[in-house]
Amino acid sequence: MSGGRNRKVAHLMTLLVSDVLTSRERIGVEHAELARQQRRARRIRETIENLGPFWVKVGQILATRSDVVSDAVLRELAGLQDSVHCEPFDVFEPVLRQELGPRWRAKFREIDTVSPLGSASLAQVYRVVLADGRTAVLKVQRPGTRERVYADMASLRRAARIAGRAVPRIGAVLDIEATLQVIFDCMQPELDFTAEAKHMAQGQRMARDFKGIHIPDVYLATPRVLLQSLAPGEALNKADLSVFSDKQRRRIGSDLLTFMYRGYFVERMFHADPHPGNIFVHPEHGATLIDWGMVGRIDRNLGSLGVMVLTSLAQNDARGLASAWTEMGRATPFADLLGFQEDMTRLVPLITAAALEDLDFGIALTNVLRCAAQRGIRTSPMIGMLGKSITNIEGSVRRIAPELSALEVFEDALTDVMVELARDLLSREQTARRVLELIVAGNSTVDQLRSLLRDLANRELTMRVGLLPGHGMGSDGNGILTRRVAPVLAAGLAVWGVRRLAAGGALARGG
Amino acid sequence: MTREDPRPLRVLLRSRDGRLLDLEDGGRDVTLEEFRARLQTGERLRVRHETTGGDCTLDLLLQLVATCLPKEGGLLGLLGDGGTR
Ligand SMILES: Nc1ncnc2c1ncn2[C@@H]1O[C@H](COP(=O)(O)OP(=O)(O)O)[C@@H](O)[C@H]1O
Repeated sequence: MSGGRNRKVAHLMTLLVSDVLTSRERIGVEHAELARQQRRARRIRETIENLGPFWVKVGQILATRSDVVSDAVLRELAGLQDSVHCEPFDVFEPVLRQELGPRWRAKFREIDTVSPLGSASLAQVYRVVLADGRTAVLKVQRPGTRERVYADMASLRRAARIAGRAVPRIGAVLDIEATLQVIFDCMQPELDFTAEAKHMAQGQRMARDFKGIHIPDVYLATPRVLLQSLAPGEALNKADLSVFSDKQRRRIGSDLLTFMYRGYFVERMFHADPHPGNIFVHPEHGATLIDWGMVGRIDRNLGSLGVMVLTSLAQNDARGLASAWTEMGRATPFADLLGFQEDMTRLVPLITAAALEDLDFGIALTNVLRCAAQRGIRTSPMIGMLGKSITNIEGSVRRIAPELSALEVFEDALTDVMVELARDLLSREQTARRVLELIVAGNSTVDQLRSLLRDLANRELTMRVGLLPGHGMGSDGNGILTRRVAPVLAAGLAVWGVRRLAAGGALARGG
Repeated sequence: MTREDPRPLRVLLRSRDGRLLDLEDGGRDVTLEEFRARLQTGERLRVRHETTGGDCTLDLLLQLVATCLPKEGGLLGLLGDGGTR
């Protein structure tokens, strides 16, 4: 039994490794090879579905790695079905008893056991009415989940290490340990719902400034049971948008984008999977984001570099993008930096034009990610997740408000980001204030700002910015400069960049 | 650090002659000093330009930083110490 499972895992690894290796040559691939890739991709998906929930999660995470797997696999994984059948409520009753005590039923007036709301990989979700009359959503983990997942994790780790040793070239594009860590971190909230509840609490704090963005209230959370308020309205992929006014649609769209941008750049914690099924919309109430199992976290350096990448994109600046990206990742011994810059020179004008019109920053990021990998630059797995999250939210927003101007929302969101960061800066950081002052007072150009930012992000705290000729600055022992200033500069830069673009160079007046 | 209540967004108006007006407070003048203080207490502020209607929050932030900081050490302060004070 377990031998058969191990064989399947080994088979999956072999398929994946071949895919990773052949997907390096994306350009000029022959027809026969494409067909072979396609067949292999389908087998990969089938094997994953066959192996069960944990592997489905692994597949979903792989689906964020356009730098690692082929297009064929990306496409197949997007259609990954949690082919779990709906199980009868009886199966879940023991879990409820163990988690909530023998009198668990007293908490509920009604449980719709006949038609569960959802049958997710590791849990089943029911609509319930609480004893006090409120309608709520009850998520119960499938029995035996934890043991199974731990066993699966161990076998994934083993298999990945074997594959890594057997095919060292894999290491050129994929940081196996970091990727495993991301996968295991993502699994944690599925195994312990109190972790998801914590994400939701954090999400609620982030949403408090938005009248139209909501996160369900958590009524009760134990490791295997989560009880939350029912999101009003319908999921964005099912909702009838004709009952929304234009103003309501636009409001929701721009709130969603702004909320997510704040997550990416201010809070540096974000909903990893804001696809239309996870966003409930209601004309008056606005949007509710559900399913906080998977969140991404970005450290400060990555955050500021990320903003730089977006800014460079918005500014149509291939060179800037190439260098920001290279710093965000790690150049492997096989890296071809010049080639990467050439790719960007070719690619950036194309994606810039598309990104600004069609709200496609996510896809743009994904494209860059892929080029980087082909040129031997290894990028943090978090960037894949960020790209996926941006792609998802942009897709969702396009659905509800296709006419939204990406440029306006981006600028608006970043003004918000900037205000928050400036507050932070003004309130607490003497040193950082002076640095900002220096930048404002000096006739800094975007290029100078960028090089300053790069230094900060690289933790090289010598300020050789050229603002003050010939002066270096003492190092900042606490790293306060890095932590506080870099994101501010980054955000500022982004806003300036976009404004310059929008105003056709009008911003040049200051510097 | 956590502010639980939703903070209302307050929109100030930047008049043609550069003054800052709080329309929700009877069109009263808001000094830069007050703007800074309000920002620091956690108020959500946005600034719109009277004539263009455009958002000029950022310009004000930059002005704020530029004008109120030199009093506290100026450019040279930066060279004195790079660390915390
Ligand atoms: N708060 C909620 N309000 C309304 N429906 C919900 C809510 N939470 C979950 N659902 C429904 O249940 C389904 C599965 O829930 P989800 O949280 O996505 O589980 P999982 O993380 O295990 O996939 C969702 O697709 C949605 O239709």
